[in-house]
Amino acid sequence: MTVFSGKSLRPAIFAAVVCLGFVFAPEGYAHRDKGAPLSARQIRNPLKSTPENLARGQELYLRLCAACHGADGTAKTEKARTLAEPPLDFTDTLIDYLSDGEIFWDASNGVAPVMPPAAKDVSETERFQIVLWIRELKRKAVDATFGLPPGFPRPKTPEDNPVTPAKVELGRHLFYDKRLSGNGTQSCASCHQQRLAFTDGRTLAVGSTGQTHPRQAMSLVNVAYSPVLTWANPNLRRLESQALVPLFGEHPVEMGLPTSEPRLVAQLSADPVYVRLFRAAFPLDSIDILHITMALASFERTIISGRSPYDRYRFQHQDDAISASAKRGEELFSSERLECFHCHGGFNFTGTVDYAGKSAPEIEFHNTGLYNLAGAISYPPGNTGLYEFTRDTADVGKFKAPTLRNIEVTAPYFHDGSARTLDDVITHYEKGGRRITSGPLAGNGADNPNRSEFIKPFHLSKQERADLIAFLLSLTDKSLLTDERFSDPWPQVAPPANTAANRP
Amino acid sequence: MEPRILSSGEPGRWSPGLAAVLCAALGLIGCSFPAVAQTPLEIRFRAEVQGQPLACGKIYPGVGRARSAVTLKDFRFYVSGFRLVGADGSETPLALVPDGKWQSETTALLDFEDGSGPCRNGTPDMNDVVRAVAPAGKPFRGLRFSVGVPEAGNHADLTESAPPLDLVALFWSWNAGHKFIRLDIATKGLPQGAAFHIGSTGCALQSPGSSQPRPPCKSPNRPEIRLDPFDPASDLVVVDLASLLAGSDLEHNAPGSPVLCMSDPEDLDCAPIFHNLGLPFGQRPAWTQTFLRAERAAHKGP
Repeated sequence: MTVFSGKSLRPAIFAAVVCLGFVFAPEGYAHRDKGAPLSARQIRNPLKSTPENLARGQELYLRLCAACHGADGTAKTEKARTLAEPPLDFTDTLIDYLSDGEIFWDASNGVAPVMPPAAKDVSETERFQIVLWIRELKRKAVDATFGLPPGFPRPKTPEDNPVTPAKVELGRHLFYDKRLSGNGTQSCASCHQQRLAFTDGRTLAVGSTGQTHPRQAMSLVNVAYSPVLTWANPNLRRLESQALVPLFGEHPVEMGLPTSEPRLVAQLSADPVYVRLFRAAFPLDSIDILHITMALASFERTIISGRSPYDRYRFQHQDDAISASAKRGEELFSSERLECFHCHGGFNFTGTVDYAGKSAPEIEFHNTGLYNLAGAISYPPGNTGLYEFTRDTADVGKFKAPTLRNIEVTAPYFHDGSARTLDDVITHYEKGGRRITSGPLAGNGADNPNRSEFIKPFHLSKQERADLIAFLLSLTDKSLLTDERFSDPWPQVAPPANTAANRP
Repeated sequence: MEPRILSSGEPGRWSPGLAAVLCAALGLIGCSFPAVAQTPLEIRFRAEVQGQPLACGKIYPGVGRARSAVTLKDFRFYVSGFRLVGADGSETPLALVPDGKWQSETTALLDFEDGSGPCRNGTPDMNDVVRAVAPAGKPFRGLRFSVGVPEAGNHADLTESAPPLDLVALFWSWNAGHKFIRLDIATKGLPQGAAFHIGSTGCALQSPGSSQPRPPCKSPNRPEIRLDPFDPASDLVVVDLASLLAGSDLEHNAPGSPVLCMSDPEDLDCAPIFHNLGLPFGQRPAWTQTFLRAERAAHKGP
């Protein structure tokens, strides 16, 4: 029906863009000279992924395709081992580069010499139903890779770097590898420790050469749902790009890799573990920084926390999963009296959120009244938040509200670690801002011209304060802190006494 | 003069021939043609302050009781329950066209901020139109709708809610529901900002697993809009912030209350805006809203 609206040209434009897109598809995937011709790209799948179509597609798939490609699509079958060329793994990256029309064509005509025209004897509609089921196998594999907790939306992932188990496994090895720092003393995990919900417990992060960062290490938990990354950068939107900041940043030096990149690539290329992992993750013959960041990003995206007592209460409807005190605390958290939810709303307890199918990414930066130095730049130099990027004085002191998940284990708090305990944080908000009476940081944060209007004084009774803290503690996901999927994959060996350890 | 609901002057029915040509041109398989004649309908909105178009970062003088200079920081609101009124007074419900962003079948989001300047925490895209389908060929003389989210979809968790009900910025915590109207501003007296968030209040918090029917909210706070006459072909719905804020003191906040109004029936800062929305407040009963009005669009047709 939309054919008639003013937007009727959009599908045509989209089709044109797609046409251009596949002409320039990556070279590694353009060698299917034995498979579907280019024109097959233009065959459109007229069917939608309805339960009926998927059920019929699954039935046909199991009958016609599963003997080689496997019931789960991973192509790990007895018959596959006997073939000269391995059948396509429908859960792997390559399937994303094939259009519905190409899969349809291959199923109808076969791919000589190995693949027979398995679906040639069923109707066109049935062949399209098979295509839908093959797509569903990929979605199921991606969901399994993420291990999504109940009630959680599917994260948005970049089209040029879909998450696969092989990339995640490679990314995990890289994440825990100290060779990724210039002097071999730090891995990503040095500042993002699993037992502390991927923070480091320090007031401010310290880099591999001992330089102190102006801000503290952010938790990586649920970073897949964050449309902007780090404390206050509105422009950094891809984890692949973000990874370059700690790896190569010089102000301050974090992992200190700038002059060591050739050494790193040579070391990894000579390590049989990486030769195997890279080969499984990417269709490449060599290792480079781009693919290191793609694997790191894939691993980071799977660090999803959603199995706290509060989640059992909220999403699995276990009424006794949290205490009556925590329930009262939730009500306080959600009240107009405290206004916590204004910046920490939604399933990830932050107003900055995005996921697949969401109408729009939401991105917010707030000044929480921590400082009010004299003059227009009212926050401590070097730590002015969003202002650093926009140079608009209305943005001084504005930072992203971090997720409150696992807040129990991510002390100290705020971008500069200036609150030691949750109690200190609550006291800060109770006063509507922080008053510092002497020294270079003197000033009343409540009077900061940029201070959010949602931060205003309130008073909590002793019981109410205990209730609010009980609610915050109900957000601790103990399984995340020990989950083997996120833990150090390297064998734990004692380092030689007088040299830097190669591995953690 | 008979009001017509067509905006383009095209015949109000589908042309299978033309549709088939378009389908073929686009290479689409499986186009279908509706049997009942339906016609697309657009209801257009315009936000302004005393005749000045509303925009982020502009300063509008002379607003509210203290004649304040007002800077816009956010202005979005939900609308739902659209009905067209026939010549005989009968009401025909309008089905909205879901687009995965601004509208579901029942509810549309109007968005008058573009995420720039003081609207930084908003979203870049804007929306000033509601798209619906109506039975073709029927004359209508008026328009009815509600400002707000229908009760049935108001209390679900955000991640279970389809667009446009999936925005954290327009959600009021887990159970209490959505902010039907979000208006954030700054003035000289309240430079850090002031907000008017209108939505249902007195809604019982319910535990997630509860099988009990949810008790109705004590104050639903859904302004009911009646525009007579209204012709979608030539008329706009005009939203005037100066009308909405008339009578409000935008320079001071009642002590111990949110800055300025979070729909609390005991917060006196809410009294004027509730009056302008036609909503009951305290002992005062509901009456006619002055928030929205119909206006004949300029430069339209001969």
